[in-house]
Amino acid sequence: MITVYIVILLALIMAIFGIIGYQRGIWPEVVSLVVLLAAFTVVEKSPQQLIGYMNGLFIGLMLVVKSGLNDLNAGDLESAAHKLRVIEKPFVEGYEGFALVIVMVTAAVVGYLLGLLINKKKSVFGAALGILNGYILSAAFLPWLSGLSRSDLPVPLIREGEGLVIETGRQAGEAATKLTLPTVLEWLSLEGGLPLVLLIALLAIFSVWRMRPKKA
Amino acid sequence: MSQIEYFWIIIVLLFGVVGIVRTYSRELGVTTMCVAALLLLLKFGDKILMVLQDHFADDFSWLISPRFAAGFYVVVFLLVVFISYQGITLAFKGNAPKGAVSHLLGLIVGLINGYFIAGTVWFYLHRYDYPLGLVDGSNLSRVAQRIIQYLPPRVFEPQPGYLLGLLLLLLILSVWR
Repeated sequence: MITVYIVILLALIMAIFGIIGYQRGIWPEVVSLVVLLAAFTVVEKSPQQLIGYMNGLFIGLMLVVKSGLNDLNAGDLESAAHKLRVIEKPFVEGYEGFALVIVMVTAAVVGYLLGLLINKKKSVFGAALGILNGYILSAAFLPWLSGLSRSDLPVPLIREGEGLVIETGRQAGEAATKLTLPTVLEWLSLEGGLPLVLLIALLAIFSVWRMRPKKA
Repeated sequence: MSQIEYFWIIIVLLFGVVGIVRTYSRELGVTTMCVAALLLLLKFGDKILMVLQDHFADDFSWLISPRFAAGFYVVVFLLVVFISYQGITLAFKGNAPKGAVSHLLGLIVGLINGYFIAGTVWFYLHRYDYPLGLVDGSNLSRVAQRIIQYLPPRVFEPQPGYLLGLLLLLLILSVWR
């Protein structure tokens, strides 16, 4: 079940990526999208295998740090095997999700770095792609970290879903209908939207009045 | 069960953020184009669709499908929005002064743009019973059903003339400074 906090976290991640996407423009975001989708597909289709690889990578690195390679080079297999046994797998049980977070964050960073090779041009559609990137990133690891059902955050063609099931949010929304906001909306939409049109007109006049003339 | 209203609210809020970043002088240009596109769809959308269906439906039967009708409205509207953001931008003359008030104005104008854009798309998808899938139109929450009553095409449909007045005012304001 998705709680309001997860929805806020999801919206926050998407908003941050949206702003970054706006600043970077369309093409860098397309590159990030491709990289993230590739990483997401791997995370989605074979998570256990990926976790195994990440554990292996960690153990390999630790073996190097603990000079296990020197032992192997010197032919001291017993010492190397002992060092290998001592190293514990980091991504087990409750911590498996962190391996996937690392993979997705790495993919996001790689996408970002590749995007640096392309010229930036601010774009709203970059923002839209950024939002999408934020969603894919969240869809990959939020279920692992929050106990969320994976089908709550579907990605077409890769992950089937039932759509967002936000029971708490639904209850909050139902409660919100009883608040005064609908009254304001009803008032704004009276007479074919005349109050709304007047409000937008006044806002536009005020906004333009505040502007400074452009220097010639 | 689909929570389309949450998605809609998030999109509108994100347009608000975009409004702060882009400043309101640019965002008002998008508002102008949104109003023009909405007016076009309200006044001529059905007629254009009917002409297309009358002339070509014999050869292309998919023209009479709800999927095409919804796609027509959504694509035309989003095309205008795309052009107004990305291509020929109708930025208002003058510079927005720096400061909190300008950011607030950017936020409000961005939210209005979000309301126009996300609202219009939602309305036409709803009108044709979500032919693109993903949402079950018969299972909308009360909140969603209520919001649909206040989406731009529904609000302005009875009196599109108000939109014409607003469009003229925005066009005059665009060259004021």
